[in-house]
Amino acid sequence: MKNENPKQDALKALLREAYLEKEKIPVGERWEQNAMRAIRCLPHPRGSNHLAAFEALVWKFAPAAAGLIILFTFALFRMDLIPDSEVVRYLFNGFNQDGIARYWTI
Amino acid sequence: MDLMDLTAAEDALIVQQVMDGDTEAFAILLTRHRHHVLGIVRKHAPYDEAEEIAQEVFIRAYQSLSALEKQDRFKHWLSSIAVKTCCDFWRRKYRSREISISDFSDEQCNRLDQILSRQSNQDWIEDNARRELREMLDQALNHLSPEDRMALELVYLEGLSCREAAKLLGWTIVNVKVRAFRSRKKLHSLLCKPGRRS
Repeated sequence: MKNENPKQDALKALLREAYLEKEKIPVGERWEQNAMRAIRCLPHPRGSNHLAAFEALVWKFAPAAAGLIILFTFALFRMDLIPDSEVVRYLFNGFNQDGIARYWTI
Repeated sequence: MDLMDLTAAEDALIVQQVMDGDTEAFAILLTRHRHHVLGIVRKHAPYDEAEEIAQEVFIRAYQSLSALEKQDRFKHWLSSIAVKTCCDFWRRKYRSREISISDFSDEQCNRLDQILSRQSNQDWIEDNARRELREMLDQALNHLSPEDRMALELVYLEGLSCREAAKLLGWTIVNVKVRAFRSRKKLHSLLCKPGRRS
């Protein structure tokens, strides 16, 4: 990113100097103790690893699962929904009217 | 083996120690790298929030220690976490609208002109002017989105290459290039408004 404008170059140099100046501000001493206290309260990274791995696995298969759900829903709406009682009644009637009659005529 | 390699090897050993159940060993990593992390955080975040953000960096590092593949690259990995944490900090700030976005006054623009003209004659600027300039820079940075802000700070102000910045932020190089270019243009237009200043 080279600037042909010398004013912009001068501005860049100034801004950079002002920006890097920020780094020189000192820090409190108790900070490290507080940080370690917070870390001690956390579960061990290896322990939480299994949960993270499971979560990653779930998310990995989530798109495929969502796709399957959509596909099955679509297929379900395409097919006629026949309740079990209807199927039984149809079989029973069919058996009485056609099946038995045909059986006896034979 | 030079000093850097030795430090990296030691880091790897300590990381392994922590992973084997010795949580207290993490204190060694914290002591070794706190200045490095605080250095990064202080540059990208406000001073009064720096300590808290740096603490969050180490907490995040500890929590995702098992994801660290190359244990001898701990310092670089930690730098990346520090930069991402700062980016998240700005996202939170912008979301909660805690950022004051104000335009530059004519007085500020004239003052910048004065500082610039003095800079061309001298190699240094006094503390007062530097402080003023830093305030103006912070004010201008508030006009940028968190992502643009981070790209600008890393590439334009810190002088990192787009590749290095991309590695730290976990973005593509093209993304960094576009954002750095766009935000640099915006920064210049904010600080050198043609209508206001001759």
